[in-house]
Amino acid sequence: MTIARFSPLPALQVHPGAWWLWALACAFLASIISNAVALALLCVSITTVGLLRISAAERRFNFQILIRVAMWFVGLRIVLQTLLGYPMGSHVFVKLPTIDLPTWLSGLRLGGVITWESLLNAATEGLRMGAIVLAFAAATNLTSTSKVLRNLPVAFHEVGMIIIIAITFIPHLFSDAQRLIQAARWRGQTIGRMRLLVWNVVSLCEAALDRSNALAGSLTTRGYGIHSSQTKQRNLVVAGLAIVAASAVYFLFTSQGYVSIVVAALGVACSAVGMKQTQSLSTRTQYRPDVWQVNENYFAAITLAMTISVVLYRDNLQAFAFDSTLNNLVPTHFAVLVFIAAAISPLLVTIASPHQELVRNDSI
Amino acid sequence: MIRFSNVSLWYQDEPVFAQLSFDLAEGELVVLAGPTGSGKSSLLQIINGLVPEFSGGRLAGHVFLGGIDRQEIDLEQRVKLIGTVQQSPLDGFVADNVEDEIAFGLETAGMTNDAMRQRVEEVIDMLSLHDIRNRPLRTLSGGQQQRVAIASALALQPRILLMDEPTSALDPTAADEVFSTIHRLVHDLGITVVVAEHRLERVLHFADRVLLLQSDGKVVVDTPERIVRKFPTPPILTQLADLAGAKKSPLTVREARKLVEPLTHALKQFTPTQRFISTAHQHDVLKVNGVTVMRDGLKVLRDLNFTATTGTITAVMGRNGAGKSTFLHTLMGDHQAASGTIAINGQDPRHLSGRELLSTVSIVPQQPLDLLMSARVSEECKTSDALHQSPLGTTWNVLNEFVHDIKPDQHPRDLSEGQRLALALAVTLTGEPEVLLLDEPTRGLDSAAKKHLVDVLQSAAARGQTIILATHDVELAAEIAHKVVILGDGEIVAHGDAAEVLTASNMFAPITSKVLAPQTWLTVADVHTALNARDSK
Repeated sequence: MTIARFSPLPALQVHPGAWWLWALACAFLASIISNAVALALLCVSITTVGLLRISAAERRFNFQILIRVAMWFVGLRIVLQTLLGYPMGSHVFVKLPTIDLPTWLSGLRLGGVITWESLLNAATEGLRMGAIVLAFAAATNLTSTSKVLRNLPVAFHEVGMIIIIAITFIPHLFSDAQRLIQAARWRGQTIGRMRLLVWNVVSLCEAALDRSNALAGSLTTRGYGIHSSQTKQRNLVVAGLAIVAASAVYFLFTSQGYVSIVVAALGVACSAVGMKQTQSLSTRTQYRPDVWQVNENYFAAITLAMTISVVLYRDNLQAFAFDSTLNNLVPTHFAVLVFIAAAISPLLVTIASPHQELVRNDSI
Repeated sequence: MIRFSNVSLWYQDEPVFAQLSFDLAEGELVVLAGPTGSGKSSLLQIINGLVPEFSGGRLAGHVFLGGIDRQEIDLEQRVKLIGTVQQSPLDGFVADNVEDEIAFGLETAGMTNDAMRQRVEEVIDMLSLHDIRNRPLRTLSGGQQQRVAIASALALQPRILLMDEPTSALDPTAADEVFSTIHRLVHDLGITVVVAEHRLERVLHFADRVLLLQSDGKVVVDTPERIVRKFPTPPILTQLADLAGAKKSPLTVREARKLVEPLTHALKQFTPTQRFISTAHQHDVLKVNGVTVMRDGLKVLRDLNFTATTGTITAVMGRNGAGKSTFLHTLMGDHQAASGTIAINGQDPRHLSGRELLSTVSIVPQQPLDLLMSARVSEECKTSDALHQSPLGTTWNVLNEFVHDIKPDQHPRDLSEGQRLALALAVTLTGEPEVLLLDEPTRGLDSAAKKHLVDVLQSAAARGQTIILATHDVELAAEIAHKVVILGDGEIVAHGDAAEVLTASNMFAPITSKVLAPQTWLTVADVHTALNARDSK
């Protein structure tokens, strides 16, 4: 076997599957670890990869918006937890006056003692959501929608439309929001941007959906996703994916890492067989196919490493800060270093896509 | 090739058209004409199957494609039989670069890689896309994008090609390029082409037959020479031929020049009257001084110097991407100028907001919907009154001066192009801005709506408002502009009186001046006035 010569690829030329594998691994990692500092490091890694490798201005803009959304999650979570949540631990941060709520709201409490522990817990939960949002934001903006679509296993072609609408919805929403802000200035509105966007959220969503829908219509006239369905094979794929999902749930509620790895592997194999079968029945072909090469293998390897290491070392990663002291805050376990390094390592095998030729169209 | 037999279509119980029957032969280039709202797009979508399968509606009657009932052709075959090119190609693109876009349909058809390579190569040559084959689609000019859209439709070797206003966003040269290409394809390949189009002067001379959807829901199919008589407003060439007393309807400038010779002769003794600006106290409202605007590290406007006086209408013209829209948006204060100053009544529009901005400068953007913010016309008007601090109902009254058929509880999105434009105009004119900017206002307007727009703008100018419009519509510029600015790659290449600039240019010369050259008449109306003056003497 010869070893292919290795050189970093422009981010957009990497097989989209590789980026999505990486993003899914990051999201999985985020849902397992519960140490605020480790999660923050993960968020920073994903953001760094995104910012350094997304080059088109529009995609960068989308990504930056989603970074803000992620930050919002953290902030909102902290505010809600501290104001409404039940205090945990004993390290008091601040004592606010308690507001008595009516008895039928007895489960809730407003104000009162806020401890370091509950703050930390809220931050952890917020960062977890944030990391997942960031991972998906990075993957959608690092890959091109059309490449994702053409590489989508045949079993999913019928839901291809839904995927197109889902993936293009957020970017459309943002460009519509920008347009709305512009229109507001033109119309002499002087209210704040946030208020403006909240007031118009329904019409914004409508407009963005309309445009995604136009794309789906164009796909229909071009014959996408109209092949005869292969129900049996598709069921196999769905069953396989269901097993993977089940193993993940099982893993979250028990701590039997080995068992879930075996079960998940079974599920992956099952859906792979299904996909292979649908693939061979399909008549769709690829023009200048995207190839899975040494760089993509690297992505696959780090994904696997991240997933397995987190499953096996989960107990150690559960370094929760509020046991009795706050000493465990900084994660020192080597697994943490491994997966942070893995999360940021796509930087080694990719380069930023070269700047595309300057945009010249009617909007100039 | 395409036969409609008693076809009727309803959307939510509102009939779009009823009992349509016609027959289009193979290898014909058919132009689909008719006022807005007459169902041109729906008719095309019935042929390609988007109506009613994709966008709903209730359909009765039979449509035969190549002798087979449409319902018996499954979607997969239909895709190979019919190619579709949309109004704005960018919305319909599914890939990132030119080659992938062309190959997309072939991939779905399951063609082998070798065959695909060959087919892609062929259409690239057919539409001269070689130089741009690897370019990202978003970076192409409008004309190039439209050619790519045609190429990807043709790659599947369809027998029928449907096009929905393929040149509405294009400058005259790019539009001509597209139609010449289609014309050649019809002759080389024998495919049947149906083109929906508003600007008939661009396409009529290429057409074999014209399918006219009339506003009463009836349909007429006839040769272009004969059908022009049935248009609510006959094409300019026909109007000129009529003035010259010729019996025929010419379709090209060359034909017309021969036919109107007596008219040319009669007009020799007149000089076209200068358009005068009606306000008494003129002063420079708008001053642009050495403005340069950068975008993405590129100079899109270079060192512009420009002034406009009260009550003037200035048309800004130029090819796609020349910087027209950027110019308007810079005047609106949306872009920061890298150097130079802009002053409207001495104020920089970037520093204005709220009511101050509204009374100084307003814009009607390319898509009027971008300006509208409410879900109902009545709310839109109410918001507008509030923003302008005008008494309740002001905007609604202004709107009613323009159009009478808008219902207060309609959603702006459900309005026709013309109605949307009217609403956007009402909303901006209520503030009586010193300077009114319009970006491509005639896009998608039929002749009736266009006439209306001309009236509205002329009376606004007569009240002393300064109007600047960016447009590809040469005839509109010829009809209302006092001054014309031509931009080329961000620089002003010509600036002066409309008559001078327009008649001196090949690309932007209106049809009347092409026919009557070397005399410098801009519009049929000008000719008419001159002749009337002669007769009354």
